[in-house]
Amino acid sequence: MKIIAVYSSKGGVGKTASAVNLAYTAARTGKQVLLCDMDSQGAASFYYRIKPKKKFNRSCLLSGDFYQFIRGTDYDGLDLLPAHFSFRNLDIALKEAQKEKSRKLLADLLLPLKSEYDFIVLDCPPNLTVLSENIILAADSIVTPVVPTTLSLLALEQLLKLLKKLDCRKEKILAFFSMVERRKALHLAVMEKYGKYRIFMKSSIPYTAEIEKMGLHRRPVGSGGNQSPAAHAYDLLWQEIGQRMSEK
Amino acid sequence: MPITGREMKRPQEIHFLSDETMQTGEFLASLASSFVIEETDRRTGRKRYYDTFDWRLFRAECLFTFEEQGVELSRFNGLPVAAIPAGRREQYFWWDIRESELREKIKAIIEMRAMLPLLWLDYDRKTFRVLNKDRKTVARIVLCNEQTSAEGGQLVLPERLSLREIRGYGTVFAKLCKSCRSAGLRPVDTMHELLAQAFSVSTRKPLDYGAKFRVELPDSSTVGEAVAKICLALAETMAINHAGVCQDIDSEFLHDFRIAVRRTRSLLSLLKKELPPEQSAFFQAEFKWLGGVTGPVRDIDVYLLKREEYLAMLPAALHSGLNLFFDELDRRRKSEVKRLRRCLLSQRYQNLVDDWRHYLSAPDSALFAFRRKKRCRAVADKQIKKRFASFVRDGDTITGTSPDREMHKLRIKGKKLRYLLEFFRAFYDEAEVERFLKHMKKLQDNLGAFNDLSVQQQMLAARLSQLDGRTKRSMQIGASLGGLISVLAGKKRRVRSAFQRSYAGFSKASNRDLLIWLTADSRRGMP
Ligand SMILES: Nc1ncnc2c1ncn2[C@@H]1O[C@H](COP(=O)(O)OP(=O)(O)O)[C@@H](O)[C@H]1O
Ligand SMILES: [Mg+2]
Repeated sequence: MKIIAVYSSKGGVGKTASAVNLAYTAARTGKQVLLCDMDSQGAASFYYRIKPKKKFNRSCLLSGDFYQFIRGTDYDGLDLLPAHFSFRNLDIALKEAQKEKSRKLLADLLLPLKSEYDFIVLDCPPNLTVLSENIILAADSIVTPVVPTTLSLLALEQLLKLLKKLDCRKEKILAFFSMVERRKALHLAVMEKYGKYRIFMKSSIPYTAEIEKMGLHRRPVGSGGNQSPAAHAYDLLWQEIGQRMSEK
Repeated sequence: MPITGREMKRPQEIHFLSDETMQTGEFLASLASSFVIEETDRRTGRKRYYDTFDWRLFRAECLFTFEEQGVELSRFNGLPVAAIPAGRREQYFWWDIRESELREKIKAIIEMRAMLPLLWLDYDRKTFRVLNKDRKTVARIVLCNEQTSAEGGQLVLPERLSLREIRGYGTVFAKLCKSCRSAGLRPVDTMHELLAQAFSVSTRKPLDYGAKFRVELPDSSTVGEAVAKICLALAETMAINHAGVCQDIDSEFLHDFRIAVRRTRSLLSLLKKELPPEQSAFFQAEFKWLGGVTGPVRDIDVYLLKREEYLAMLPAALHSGLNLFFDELDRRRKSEVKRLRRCLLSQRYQNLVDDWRHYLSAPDSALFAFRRKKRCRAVADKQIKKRFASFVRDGDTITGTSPDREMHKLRIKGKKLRYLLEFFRAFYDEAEVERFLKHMKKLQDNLGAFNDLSVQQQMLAARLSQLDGRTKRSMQIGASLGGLISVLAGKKRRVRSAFQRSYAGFSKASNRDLLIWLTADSRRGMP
């Protein structure tokens, strides 16, 4: 089982769009996949039309008693652990958990799912807290969307610093350019300048109407049955993630 | 805080069949008043279902099917295991499937056996989804019309409705199940029942052949009656495997055939004093002949089956020599199979089969007249006790330095004891016999491995000494065989040193008591 966190400290960069579509792509290649919606906003759950059960909340998650709240999506091999409103205080709760172990809690919670899933994809909220530390320690790889603007690059720098603090190898980070608009000179310039660093994968995700409209259709791109350039871009990204992960 | 022991529940699938009063299709239409149901997919096609002769896939609760351009392995519970493109074949060995996860899974299940086609299945399958108010799929319904065909004809199976749970939506699933039940649809909980129906058009029936030997014997059986029953069962095993041996489908037909011959010979010799001497001597000689003529091909098979294992023992540089050796064996096998086939289709063989059957079943057969009143149970008790005592007497004296031949002798004695317990298991408590045989198996495996390694070493050494050392080819073969012999010698030492532990495990007091208890007539029935 591999844990892949889609993470950035910045919001609105395409984390949820990527997590939702990468998880779908992975399941379509025959893998057993669990998408965990860690963001209390519940956008990933919304895209898959899944609501949490009434009894579900943060303490179920933290006690490890959450398997019964995992739900199947409309797609074979893809399950989802929905977000709950109470997740917004997840980091406070994590801090209150046993002090020295609080950073490894998430990894311990997910470990028993090893026999069930080939991949766990985490859709993460944008922050820099104990939760982020948990996510970084639990993940085998951290997939980071970077909109090719200078501000987004700052978030990447922050992430690198955090990894250093946690004593993690920086190769854990797999960055890619997200919401790319080829018409924009700034995008092209940033990609030209930074794309050559090893931290960036070759594949990128363009800004497309299809992805933008996911909130309307409430399903991953390409699942409607028609040819989808966006789905193709996610396929390529997923392949490259697989390659990078096997190189390590 | 490591969390263990929490298992995830797998989503269920339940099948329902139509009966006279309610058709599944009509029922589905009626569901539309309480659920939002949408057809998502309709598929028609033709599948061919395969299994090994001894039902290895069925036993593993798996199905192997060919359809259009590929093969698929799935589980009885409906979960697919793996599928890959492949051409249609009349039989598949694991090596006929291209390198993949599917191939590895199949290999672990079927080993050296061939998968043979058993049935055709024509299907028309419609999939529906049940939606909640967010238009999220919360359950699936599959409506399936099927027809099977095989050499015995065709059969339209009753229409089937399957409910598939989606994880986390158990409530809807339970509601749907309840509706099906109250509408009078009949649930079938296992694939076994569906397959049993499908196989009604085939001459084969699931699990109609297996390696476990068991014959029902009433406690009052006389020696003649018991021997007749056991030997008829063994003769049946030979008959069943005869065609597979002659067509050379896979190596296991011959293997099972030979085991039946060996068991027959063993029984005749173990009960020699209780059987008509003249007839016994005649059949002993004929079965010895049969054992002899079937030997050479099996001896070669043993090596061919080890091809992978041997290659893995040697560095790549020695592989070409070993492959030459195997090619040579392959060629020799072809001519040996021809010879074997001639023997099995000969008049001598046919006469043996006919005479043997007559001897075992004719009411006026000498078998039933000789010592006509003697109860078999008493003979079995005595024989088993005697063989066990002799086995442990020998086993107890074996030390780390005992010569190899002591090990071989012990193996033969063990085999005889095991055969006795298997022939006569019906006289004893089934669970206890199984338990004893299981303990014994570990030890026999050790002795068997030791013997195999000795025989292999000898055979390879003999081949090595025959090689003409001048050609490049024989130098290559020679180097590989030399390498193999030394690896095998190391293995043999390890197996030998594991013997003491296996033996101690087997010969412990509780097993001795178990056997005495089993065969003690007066104490039977005690807990
Ligand atoms: N490649 C893209 N093309 C067009 N719109 C996108 C793309 N990626 C994300 N969006 C849109 O941008 C918004 C923010 O994306 P989202 O994935 O929710 O970001 P995050 O999870 O990082 O906050 C959403 O409305 C989403 O539909
Ligand atoms: Mg998000």
